[in-house]
Amino acid sequence: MNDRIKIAVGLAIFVVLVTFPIWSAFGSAPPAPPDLAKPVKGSQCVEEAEWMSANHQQLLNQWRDTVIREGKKEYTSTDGAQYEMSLSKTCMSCHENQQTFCDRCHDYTDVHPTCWKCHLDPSREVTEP
Amino acid sequence: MNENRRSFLKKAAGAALGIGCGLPIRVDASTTQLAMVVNKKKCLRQEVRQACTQACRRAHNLPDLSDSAHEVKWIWTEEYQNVFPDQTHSHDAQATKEEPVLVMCNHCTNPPCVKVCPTQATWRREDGLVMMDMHRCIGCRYCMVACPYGSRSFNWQDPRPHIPKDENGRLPSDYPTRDKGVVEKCNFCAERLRDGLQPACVEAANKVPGGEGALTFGNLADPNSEVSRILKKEHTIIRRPSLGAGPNVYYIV
Repeated sequence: MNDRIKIAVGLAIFVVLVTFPIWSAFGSAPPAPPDLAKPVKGSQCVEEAEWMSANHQQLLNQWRDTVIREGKKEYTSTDGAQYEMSLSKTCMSCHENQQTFCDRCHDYTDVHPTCWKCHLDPSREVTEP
Repeated sequence: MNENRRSFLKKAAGAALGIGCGLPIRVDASTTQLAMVVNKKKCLRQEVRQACTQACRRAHNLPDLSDSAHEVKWIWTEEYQNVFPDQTHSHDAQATKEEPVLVMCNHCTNPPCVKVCPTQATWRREDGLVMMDMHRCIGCRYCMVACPYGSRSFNWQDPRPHIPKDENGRLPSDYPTRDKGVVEKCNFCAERLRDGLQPACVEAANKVPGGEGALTFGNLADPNSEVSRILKKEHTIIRRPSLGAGPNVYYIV
């Protein structure tokens, strides 16, 4: 039982190291949410802005499947308005800049969607948007 | 045992009818079958073929890759003897054998590529268009092996740096580029059809003087469509009919 002190010290060091992320952030304010570029054109999004910030990924997946699989292109929003289901034509016509809108929030939340490996930002990358 | 021959036959007939009613009866209910007619003679002129291939390359942001093992092709030119290997014989004139023919995905009625795709990234739409979903493609290349026409290309590298850009570094079209590791092919310009336009190659051929009608696109299920009218009037052939894939690209030779 002579090792009791060594074990206790070892355990204490282990607990301190494991809980480092918790106590090191204790008391400091959470990082401020990113300042997203507000669209210049358009007064409202296809759905409520709050709903969009939480669910845009599901909506985009649904659009993708409907356009590619069913060959449709019109989306009827909850308030009855019609929109073309297109990331680069509809979304990017108001949210003009991917870098100051999409990327800022994706960097903040540390998610890495692969949309832009193929899809284009018309204002930046295409001759005739 | 009081079963006589008559009652047995009655029951057997009833059972057969019952089974018959339950069987899935295959009725082709689709009212659309998209198809293309290529007029080989009108495509003999290089300007016509070039207009078609260039329009396609620009409309779909295709990369210019000089290495033939890496090149990406949607519509391109092949020699007659390679397009129709079962239509040529040893006494054909050399000039005939080497005649250029425009080729593209045949959008088969019975597409072998669709059968082998493990992720349903490629499938036959109800309008007969054999479509690709780049989001689902895992790049296994089974479809490339299955396609008897070599209509599919694999992206061995990121194509974006190789797409011809204008002086401001911008791409010719807003059509999404592809990523390294996916298979692609002609999609009969599904994105243009959605907007009520004709495929880019058809539109480009019609703009070239003398190229009008080099390519005709339409609905084969509609007896009054231009493609149906041409097929009723002209002698047309398809590529390698014995394979049974049922190509929907027809050639006036």
